[in-house]
Amino acid sequence: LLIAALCAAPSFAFAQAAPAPAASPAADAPVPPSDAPAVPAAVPVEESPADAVAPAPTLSDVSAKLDGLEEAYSGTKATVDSLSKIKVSGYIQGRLELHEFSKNGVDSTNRPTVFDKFYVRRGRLKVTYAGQNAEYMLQIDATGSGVVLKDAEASFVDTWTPFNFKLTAGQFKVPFGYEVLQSSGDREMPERSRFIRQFFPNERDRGLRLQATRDWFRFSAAVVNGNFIQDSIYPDSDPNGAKDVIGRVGGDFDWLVVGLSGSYGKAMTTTLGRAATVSGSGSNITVTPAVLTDYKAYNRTRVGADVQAYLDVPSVGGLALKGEFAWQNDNNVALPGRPASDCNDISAMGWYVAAIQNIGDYVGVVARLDQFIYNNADRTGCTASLMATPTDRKTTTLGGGFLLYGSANIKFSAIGEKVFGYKVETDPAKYGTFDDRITFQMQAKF
Amino acid sequence: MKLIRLLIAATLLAVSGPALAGNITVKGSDTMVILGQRWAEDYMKKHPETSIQVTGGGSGTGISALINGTTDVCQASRAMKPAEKEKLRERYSSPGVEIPVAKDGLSVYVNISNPLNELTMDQVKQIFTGKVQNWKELGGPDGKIIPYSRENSSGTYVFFKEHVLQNADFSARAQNMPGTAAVVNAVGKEKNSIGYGGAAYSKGIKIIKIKKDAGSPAIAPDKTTVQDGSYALSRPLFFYLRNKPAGDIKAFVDYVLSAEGQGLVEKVGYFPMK
Repeated sequence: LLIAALCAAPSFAFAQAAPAPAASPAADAPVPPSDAPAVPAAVPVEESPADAVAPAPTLSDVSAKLDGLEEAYSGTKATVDSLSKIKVSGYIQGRLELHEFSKNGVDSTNRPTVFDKFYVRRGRLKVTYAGQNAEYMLQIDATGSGVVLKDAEASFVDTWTPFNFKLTAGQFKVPFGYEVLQSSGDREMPERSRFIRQFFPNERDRGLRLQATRDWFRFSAAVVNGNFIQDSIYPDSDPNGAKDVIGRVGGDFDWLVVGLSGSYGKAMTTTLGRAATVSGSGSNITVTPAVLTDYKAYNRTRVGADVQAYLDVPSVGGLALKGEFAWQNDNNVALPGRPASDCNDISAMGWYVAAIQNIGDYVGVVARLDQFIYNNADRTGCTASLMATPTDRKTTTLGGGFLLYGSANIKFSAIGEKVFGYKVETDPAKYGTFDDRITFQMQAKF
Repeated sequence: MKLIRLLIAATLLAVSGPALAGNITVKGSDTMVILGQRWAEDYMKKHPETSIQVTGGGSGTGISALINGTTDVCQASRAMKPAEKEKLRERYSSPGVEIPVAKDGLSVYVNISNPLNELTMDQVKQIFTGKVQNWKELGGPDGKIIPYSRENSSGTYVFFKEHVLQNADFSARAQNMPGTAAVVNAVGKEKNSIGYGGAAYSKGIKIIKIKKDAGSPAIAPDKTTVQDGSYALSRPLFFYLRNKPAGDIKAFVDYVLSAEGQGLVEKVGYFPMK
């Protein structure tokens, strides 16, 4: 092809140099059949005497030009090879949610009580680069609420040992369990299980992570700040200097994946105070006293286990059975001026089981049952006034629905969720979190 | 209610079977494309009601097509990577099905005029990483080595990089060719070149015997050495499917694994499983 291009090149140059024939009748002539003798492309050469005497290129001329082209190709190839290491991907989830507690109007504090809405749940854009012993990953999420940095990973990749070590610094999903690490673009249900959302809000933290894999063995551990990104009070750094350790060790046997996870660190809960306020006039003055900001520090321990089994139902399709469990214990520790009390200890746990049955290549049916238990009300000798939050909540959610895959790039889902147990119908701040809902979603990804 | 009815209808449609019964698409490894085409041609002669379309593009391309649902069967000259398996599981709730269908001895080719007959694995690595750049450093004639490689979507590229280069990067001097046939063609024309690819592509070039290390015997890829694994670069060739094969796909896979299908493996130049 290169030689043909080179041979054709002088003809092309000659044709360029010659004056363009004005409305040549030949231009309208029928194209000869392909088996007819080819008309030499360099016919216009006759119009240029200077070119007509030019010697035909020799083999060495062609060879030299070929070498030149190869050199140019090598440069282009190096550039293309380099660019091919950059991968851009992303997905957008457009969603309609219909809520049980939604109703027209506003509440007593003028907050709307309409929660049925269309919105952009996720607008992800991810860029990765895999170079020599290095990987770069940046992911942002652009929605109606703004643009948020989700992942920013700088990784050093081992290519010398059989363990494929990967050391990552930056902001990443914490290595715990299965659902935290599963991509929201792959997940069948609209959101993660309630206990996962409570334990790992936004799933991401900043720190240093080490991963290793060999055959079926999987290991991932990280040292992180200990407060998750987008924290409402401490968005940028942990309020305590201690770092948290978190990790998962597991096995991947193709059809069966199992893992054990754990974490240990320090946590602080902060209840923001407010200044005193005075309202009313004359003899009807009401003074609302100031409330001091309250801090409680904890040693936080978490353990968890996860299992996923992938089976094949003949003539139907793949069946995935997934389950996960996690337990958290917050042990209150003293702060200056605030002695520790067992009554402030909090334990919580959660679990889910899920089944996803693919029916053919384009349809899926999903069902998930999850439960979140938050308990700090059973301490012997503690009274409600001594407890951090005197509640004993058990919230169970049963969800399920249909998935429809239009192609490799588009997915539709219709999922209903029914909440049992703890439900809030009066606190607008919790509307949409503890009510029944139906979610329709269209996801496009590239 | 309408939406639910629509979803149920779609479900029933999906369960009722493939929309294009009798059509099978096979995509992936360039190393296997000739083998796949021979299987398909022979099978279609015996089963004219079935149409099988075989295309290459590389093992990576085939695996992506399997995950994206644009092929029924993926041909691969390397095993699926854990990340690829995860993608398949996430999308289809299935671990996928791996079926070894033939064996190959990944071969190192030199020009037929090259006097060298054998190289150690380390020497091959040194050549393709650019540490050795002249044949005379290996006891050959004075000539600058021109290495030919494959594109990174190729399973042969991945296998070679993992097993010979031990994951080191290829030299920038290595020229990537679009297929094994192109590598063989280039090596056949350029006397100082070296390339690698499937054993079936051996016309007009010389296949080098490989030594695991300096003290090991030099072994050529043949039926015995590939099947017993004594050839250092023996590798299985795979079919990958999303689910356990059924219907037309099962019939085709059964044919490929039959004595008849395995007989074609040898005719093409690869080695049967047994």
